[in-house]
Amino acid sequence: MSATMIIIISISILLVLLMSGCPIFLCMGIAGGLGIFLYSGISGLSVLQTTVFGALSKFTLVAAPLFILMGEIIFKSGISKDLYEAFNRILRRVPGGIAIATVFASAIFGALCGISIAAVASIGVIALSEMLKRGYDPKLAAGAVCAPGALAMLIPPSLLFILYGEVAGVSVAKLFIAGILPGILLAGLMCLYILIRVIISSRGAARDTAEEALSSSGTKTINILIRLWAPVALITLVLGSIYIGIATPTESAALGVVGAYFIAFIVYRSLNWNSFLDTLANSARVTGTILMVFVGAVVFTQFLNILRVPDSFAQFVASLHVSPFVTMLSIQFMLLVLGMFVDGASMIMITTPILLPIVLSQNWNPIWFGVLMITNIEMAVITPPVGLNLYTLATVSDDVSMETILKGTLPYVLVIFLGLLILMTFPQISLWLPGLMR
Amino acid sequence: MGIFSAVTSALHKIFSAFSKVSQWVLFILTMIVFYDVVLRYVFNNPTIWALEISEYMLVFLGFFMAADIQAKKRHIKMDFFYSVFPQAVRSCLDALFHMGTAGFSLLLLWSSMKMTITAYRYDSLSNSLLETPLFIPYSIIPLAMLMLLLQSIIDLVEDISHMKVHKKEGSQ
Amino acid sequence: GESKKAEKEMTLTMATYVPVGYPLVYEEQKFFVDRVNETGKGIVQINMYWGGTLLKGKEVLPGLQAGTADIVFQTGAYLLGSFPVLGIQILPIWPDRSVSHEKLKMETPLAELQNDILKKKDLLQIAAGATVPEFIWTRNKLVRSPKDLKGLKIRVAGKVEAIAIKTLGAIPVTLPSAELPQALQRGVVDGALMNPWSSTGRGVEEFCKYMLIFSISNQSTPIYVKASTWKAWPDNVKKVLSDAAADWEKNMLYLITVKNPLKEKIIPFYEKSGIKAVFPTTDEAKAFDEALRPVLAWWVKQTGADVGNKALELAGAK
Ligand code: NA
Ligand code: NA
Repeated sequence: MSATMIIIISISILLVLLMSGCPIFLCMGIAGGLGIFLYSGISGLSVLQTTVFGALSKFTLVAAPLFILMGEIIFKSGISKDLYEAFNRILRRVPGGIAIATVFASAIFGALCGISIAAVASIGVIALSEMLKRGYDPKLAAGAVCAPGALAMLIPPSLLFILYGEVAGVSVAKLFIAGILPGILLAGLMCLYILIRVIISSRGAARDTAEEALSSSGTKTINILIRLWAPVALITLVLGSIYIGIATPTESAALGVVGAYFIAFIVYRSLNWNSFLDTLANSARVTGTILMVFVGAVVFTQFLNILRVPDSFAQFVASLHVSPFVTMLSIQFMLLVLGMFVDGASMIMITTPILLPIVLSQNWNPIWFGVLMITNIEMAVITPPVGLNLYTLATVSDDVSMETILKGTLPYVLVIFLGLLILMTFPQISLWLPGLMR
Repeated sequence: MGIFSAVTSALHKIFSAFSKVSQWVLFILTMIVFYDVVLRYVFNNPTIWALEISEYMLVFLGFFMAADIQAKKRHIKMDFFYSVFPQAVRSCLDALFHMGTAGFSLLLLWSSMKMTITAYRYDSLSNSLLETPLFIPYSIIPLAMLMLLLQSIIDLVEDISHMKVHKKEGSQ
Repeated sequence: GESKKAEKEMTLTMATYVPVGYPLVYEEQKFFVDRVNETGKGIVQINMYWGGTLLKGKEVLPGLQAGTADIVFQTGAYLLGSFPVLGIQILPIWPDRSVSHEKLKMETPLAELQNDILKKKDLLQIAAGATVPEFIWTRNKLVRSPKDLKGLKIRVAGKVEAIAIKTLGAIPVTLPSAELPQALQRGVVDGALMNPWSSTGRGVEEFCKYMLIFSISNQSTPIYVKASTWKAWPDNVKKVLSDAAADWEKNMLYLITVKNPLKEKIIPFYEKSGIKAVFPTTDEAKAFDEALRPVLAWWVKQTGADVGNKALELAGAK
């Protein structure tokens, strides 16, 4: 059987299994394992013994469980309430203030936590009920809670960047730093969207009356701001140590976990023995499921390597003579469609080995491409039918229906896509900061 | 069926015990990396073992929860279409996936077992100052895959008995 | 015995972790692959996987043992855990490239001694080539004698290197090589132990001020096969491989002494980029030799006194 035939069979099997609900680690494991078998027989499969162990025993990948644990502690610590309150007090007088405060709080929360649903489940619940109480349009309120949660994936630390860096062989430290400005850009666009919407429609969100603002200002605001020293210090410690290069992402993740425990146990006193055990149990489970998908991806990647698919695929794409912009746009649309159905981590692990050769053959910077890919996944978590953030909000809140959530959140797909186009047009936004790191 | 359910519940106890162990492995892993950072940057005296041991612990985390996660049906999957299929189709798919899991875990069990035995027979040590006998970390994968294999067999047996029940219900 | 001949062309899978374009080593390894594929037409061909696409650094030896690759290039540091005897190629006993080539090349007593021991664990070295010295590069500290090294954090790649650095009073640090330039830039480490041939163009030279021209340890990347598979291969296949291996050993010496000689080409390259090459005086070199003695003793203990002392003797280091 020709190599091309084997590749077609294997990728078809991958897609069919994926769509029929087969566990994702198994989809890739079977597609990859069968491909290797068809190409080089039973003896060829012996390669798996070394690659699977080798790919998993990597110090850089240790950052993944550590940042998952840090996010879990932050999630349970009660920081989210303070973050939201602080921005809410500052932004009260702005039209759509609570919604914008939610975006800001989610962005800062994202600098402490690497997964997208945590902000929705913590900040979102508080913000949503307050917005509804103050007469915000439920659609506006639901959208403002659901979409900004995704910022945690682009703003470092980010689990997805660790996985992308590992599969693509790119520095995770540089990816983290590259995500900062694009994350701020997306947060800005989301705020802008809220502002425009509130200004256009008279019934969007009521601004606070002067007396409400007065009564709420003063010492209480200052108290909350003072309490925020701890998360701010933790962000500075974790991202700062990566940026100035004194610690690798894995090492700064360990600092982050210890710092997060300090905040949760000492500053906020919000963790007890049982919730401490919960943080471990949840993070270990998430780690186990994600690393299993990683194992599947390793098998699949090994299959692609053995058949030298990366080379031939890059040549094939080059032979199409399509402009780089069209190539990039088609890739992004493909990811958008896939993202409707597949979760972010799996998407990274399925598509990176296939897309990376194109990236390299087009002389695109793989760090920039990583940022575009994660930005695309910002949309994936809010697009139906499989949108993790949508379901999280529906699960944690009884005040809004799925329909309301959908209607309120879908405009953000366009907002994020606009951001994606900007990032595609101006690679410097992603590459300027990592360039300073060398 | 009495023996089957007894064996199943015993195995599930073992699987979930390994999940519990994994939680503490995660915690200890964090502390090891933190300890090494402190020694390296504060006391200018990094350990020779932290990096290597933490890599082995990551392999442990990656594999030892697989059976428990499988038993609780929590492996990540894209089940949008699956959820709208009729029950009969879903039962068939389940059986198929469980066969696939059995095959995949058998494949990794077989191949990584070979590597473990080779490392044991040739007395292979890691190339670091720690000189870890490599068969120890290598044996993580075959052990974990044995558990996943057992779980997928349990799943398969259950699938088949469900199908029988459905057939009976259908024919009545 | 009867001679076996291959009926049809055999294809061997070969693996290296060295990526395409890696300074010196790629050119050197490619020579062997090209030579086999030229001279082995109709007999044996090599299907080469570069850059860890088949087997990454740590996976090369287990991958060879598993039969994933039939033949591999592998750096000594990765093999020491299982084959301490290969440390003879890494120890600080090779002052000169041509000496290491003459003593280590195939069919010399030292090569035979290593293979006798490798065979016990089903490994066979079919070419060693020559060793290149590894120098200490430092960011800010001028090192002329062992006592200058006290307390410095030096990045090392392998076990012998780690012991050598420790013996000299410095602190060996293990870091992934990708992180080395940044670690040097930010002062996470004070220096590194590297061979100057393959350090060109990796950004390391930007962050170091000094390079001590003294071989603290050595590096070699021989070619290995499984002893049992070698035995089973047809004679004409073995002949093509052995001839190519012998040519490769000669070419290796040519590459590091004629095409890229240390004094005339490699050192000036670094001096041009602002690094000071520090040549130790005879006394200073003696002090290093003296200070590094315990490394040899440590290694002899690892291999067993018989083998260790015999090997050192054959190497001319006793
Ligand atoms: Na984040
Ligand atoms: Na989606």
